Amino acid sequence: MDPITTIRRRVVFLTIVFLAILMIIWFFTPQKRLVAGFFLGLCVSLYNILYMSRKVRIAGERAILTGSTRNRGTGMVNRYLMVALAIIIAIEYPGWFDVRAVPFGLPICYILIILLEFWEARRLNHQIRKG
Amino acid sequence: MDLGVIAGAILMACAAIGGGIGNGLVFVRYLEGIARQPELRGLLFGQTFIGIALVEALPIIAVAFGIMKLLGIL
Repeated sequence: MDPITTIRRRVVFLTIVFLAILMIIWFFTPQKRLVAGFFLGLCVSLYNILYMSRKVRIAGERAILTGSTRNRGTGMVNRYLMVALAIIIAIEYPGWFDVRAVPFGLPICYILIILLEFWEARRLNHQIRKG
Repeated sequence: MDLGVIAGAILMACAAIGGGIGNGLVFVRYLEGIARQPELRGLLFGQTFIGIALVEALPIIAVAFGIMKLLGIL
């Protein structure tokens, strides 16, 4: 399988598992607003990752085809505006979401990527040493 | 004008500038590498993903807190 697809699938799978766990916690905890805010942040984080991976993939394919390193952007403004949207949604519906929990869900996917990639690099290194 | 609004705006601006410069540096290296050696795109993509994730995790949080400060939540 394409390594790009592998990385993306792993991150999406783990994030969805995390979202499912949060949903179960939401049913049983009295702190529903806190968990919902975290859930909202995690959803935006997942969107950011998918959008970033699409942008990186498209730019890479364009660079391969044209041989040019000129690029039209990585979609950073779009990602930041999605964060703003999440905060505004949390402020608009204070009965559902706790706005203070949203920023803590935002970097989860990035942390997952870092952990997964380091784990993969360590595994490859171990395989090379073994021979 | 309230100082909190200015603080939020400065926070967001610094996050955007830092994130933009960092992302740009990582991305340009990725494009140069992939244009030179297209067969390494999988490896380069993984490393670019790590780079962008490392660069962007903190500015994202800073933007979130900046907006909260701007809207008077914090």
